[in-house]
Amino acid sequence: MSACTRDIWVFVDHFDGHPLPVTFELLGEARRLADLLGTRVVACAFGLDDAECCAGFAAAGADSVQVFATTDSNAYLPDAYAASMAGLCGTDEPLLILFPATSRGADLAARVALTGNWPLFPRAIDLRIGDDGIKITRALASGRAHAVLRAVGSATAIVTVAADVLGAAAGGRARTLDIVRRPLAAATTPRIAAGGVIRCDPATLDPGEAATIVAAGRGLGARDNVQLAADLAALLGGCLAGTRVAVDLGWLPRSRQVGQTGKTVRPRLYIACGISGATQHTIGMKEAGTVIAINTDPAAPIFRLADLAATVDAIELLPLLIEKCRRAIGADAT
Amino acid sequence: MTLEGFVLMRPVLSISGRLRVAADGVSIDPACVTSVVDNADLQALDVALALRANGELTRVTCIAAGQAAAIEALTHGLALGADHAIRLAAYEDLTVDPCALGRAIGARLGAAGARLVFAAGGSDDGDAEALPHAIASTLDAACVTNVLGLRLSASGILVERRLEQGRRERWRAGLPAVVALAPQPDHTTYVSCAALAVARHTSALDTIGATACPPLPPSAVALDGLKPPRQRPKRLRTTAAAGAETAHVRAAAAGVVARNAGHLAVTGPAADVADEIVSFLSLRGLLPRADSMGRRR
Repeated sequence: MSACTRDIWVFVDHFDGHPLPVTFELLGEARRLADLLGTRVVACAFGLDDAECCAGFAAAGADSVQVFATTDSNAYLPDAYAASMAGLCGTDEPLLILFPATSRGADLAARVALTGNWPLFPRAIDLRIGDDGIKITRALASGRAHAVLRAVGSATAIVTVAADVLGAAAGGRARTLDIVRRPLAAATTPRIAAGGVIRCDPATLDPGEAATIVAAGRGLGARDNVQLAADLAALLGGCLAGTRVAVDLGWLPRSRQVGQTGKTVRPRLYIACGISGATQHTIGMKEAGTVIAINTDPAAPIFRLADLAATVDAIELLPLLIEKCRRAIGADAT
Repeated sequence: MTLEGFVLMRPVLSISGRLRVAADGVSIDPACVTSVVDNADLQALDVALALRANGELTRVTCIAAGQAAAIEALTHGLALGADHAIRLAAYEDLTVDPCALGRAIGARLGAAGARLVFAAGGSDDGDAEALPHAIASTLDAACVTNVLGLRLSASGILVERRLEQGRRERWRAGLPAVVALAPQPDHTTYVSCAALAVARHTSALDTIGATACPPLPPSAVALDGLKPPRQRPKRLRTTAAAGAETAHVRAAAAGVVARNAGHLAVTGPAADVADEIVSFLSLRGLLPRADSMGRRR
């Protein structure tokens, strides 16, 4: 089978019926590669048979969706998922399968790779099509070195990619989606019994695991104003954190401190309210995906890290921002 | 119950001192490439030692494949309190294909009668995502990953896994099992110099020679080279967002917002700034959406 006729697959990780945002990044990247090769993009979803989601996959670049039926869409059954995906992969021989480097995605990628003895490339940061096949770049040594790797032979390459690494290319033109529904394959020797999922209240979530963080600094002026940051965090489904100064002033518990002597965080969105951006703080949040900094000082060092720098008083801005966000979120729902 | 815990210790690649480029002008000078003990492995060892302290494990053995870096990793393991260490001397410190290495280590662990293996579930190079699975597939064992909590019982193990955004998931598995611990980046395990000095002179480190080691399976992955990192600008999420950002840049040109050193700078009345932030969040898909029940996601 020549490379140009082999599809590119993307595993869809989802929860509560909503695909994780990284899925769309991977579909966009798969579309880019598929357009170069003149092949198709196939999304593989377990227990997500939803027209709205499928339309989203098509808009992000998928040509086809393989939907595996499950009884509980939130349950991850590692043995059965791996058997289903590896079985189909053995038949269809895709060129490449992209998995999000999430807890479930990374776990399943390794299981599928080992089932078929396919080459596994964990945590890719770049994918390129070369004369001798696909080349995958990975970061090593805390990002101080990059390794360029390629698969030996023409077997399906299994690649995991973390969120916010590749970004997302455009889905391009609207596509007619081909949906194929399949039963979940039974694992020959199931070894793991999956129990329930325990949900977490975003307000009590550890900042190290939060996707959205609103951080408070000394610029908020008083403990009462920290509540504004907390309200914004609650509205955005994130958690409250802060600088060492905010913690020392007793505005936040020590467990919420971000920085050199606190937590290292990697959220998708980090909103810094009244934070100047001392190195001791930024060292703990510099890997955040999108940073919005709010500070009255236009020369504040935090602005160097910011994707959006708002030179305004955070105390004045936050109530308005909360109100406008609330309206925007409500408008999205209608 | 007599149960021995095995802990995988795997050296990871590191850059020693200043990054230097080789004579070809493209790749990294091999002289500055070294390997170090992975802190995540020491965290996995911590968990095994805690179980031994509770009487749930009778003995803890560290295992590593490689040369000088493997010896160093195992010495750290012994210094932290492991009872025994095994080095597989047939292999290099750094390998390209984690699945091939995992299979070789798994074969050796199978020969040693391993029923419970601990490993780091995350590492600087990402290989720790594959190694536990490769060991488990060779041992014909269950593999549980991203584990935050573990309970041993007569029938096997009950684990709590870490999912995204603070969620947790419970799994139950029988023995043999390979447990890959969730990475704890803010937790550093320190080893005292005195303990290291004592461990260097202990006889608890066994070396398995090349003849007794299973051969490394053929690698499915080839390394084209190590290169210095290349700084790339952040990519935008969609062309729609890109178009809107272009509109922002036009607005910047018109003096409404300013573009400064690669980021959008907004100033003015708080209400206008709030509008800009909301539109920015919306364009990047960072605003949660409410479902039909009014719950945000």
